[in-house]
Amino acid sequence: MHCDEALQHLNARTDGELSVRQAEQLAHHLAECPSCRTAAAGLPALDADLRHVFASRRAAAARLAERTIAAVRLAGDLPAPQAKPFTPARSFAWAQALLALAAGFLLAIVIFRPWQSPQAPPAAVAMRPPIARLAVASAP
Amino acid sequence: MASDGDLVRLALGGQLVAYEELVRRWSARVLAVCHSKVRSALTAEELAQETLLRGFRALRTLDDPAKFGPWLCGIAARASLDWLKSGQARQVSLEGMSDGQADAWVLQPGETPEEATDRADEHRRLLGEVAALPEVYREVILLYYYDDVTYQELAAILGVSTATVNSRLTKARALLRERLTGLKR
Repeated sequence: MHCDEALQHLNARTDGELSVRQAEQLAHHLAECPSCRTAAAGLPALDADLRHVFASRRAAAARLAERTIAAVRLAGDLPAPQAKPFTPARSFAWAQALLALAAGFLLAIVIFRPWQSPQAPPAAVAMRPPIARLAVASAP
Repeated sequence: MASDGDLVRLALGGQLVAYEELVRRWSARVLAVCHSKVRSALTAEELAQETLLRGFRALRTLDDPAKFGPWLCGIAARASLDWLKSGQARQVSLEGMSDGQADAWVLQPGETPEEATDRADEHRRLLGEVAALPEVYREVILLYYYDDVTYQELAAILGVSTATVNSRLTKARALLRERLTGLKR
């Protein structure tokens, strides 16, 4: 294990986020690395200082929550859902769709010309009398 | 314990106590997001309350009730950025991170006034160093220490992996140790 990875494991251990396998790997590394042992010694103190410093901020957050709840109770109820307003951009999109539909309809009319009756099949070719007959040679 | 999604559905059904529970769950994290961006604790409280009320008014627009937390934190981030762009940020210095720390000046049992002063100075110094961190590290430190969050919850709020959360917390603490002790590892 490299020291960078060991440092991350140390932080995870401080935060209660280290797995059993990672804890074993970390213990093995700390046994061999005095530098990481020094870092390990200082981390809990820093964590404790930060928790202590932020205790008043946590209290402030709790007071904030109660002030907000008082405001929510004054409001009484969630605002009613509002209908989406009609916007020019939306009407323009609809116009584009209708134009495209009309253009496709006209194209179909031009191609297929439904007002024309179906064409009669081509007239059968008149049979002409045969020019010659093939005489099959018969056996002697 | 009801999930966030369940509470959102109950609130949409008219049970406002459900939204009150959501406020209690998320106020600290929303405050942390705002604080990480605007640096002033008092301004962050105003923005956080505005965010929580905006969430209440816009709750019907939330597509996925299970994503209430990240959605609300997104509103908090945008409200904070709007405040920063409004020009009021120029009036707040880095020391603003430590405003609202009136509790630090209260004498603890058995503590002399000189010790209380030293403790308050240490607190102010530590918060000042947190304020000086790059935003990506400041944000994760504040989110972690404002509330009891797991790596998984932090990852959901930030939209990153738990490994990234671990990495950022590791780097943030290393930077704080360097600045506080003047030692390089």
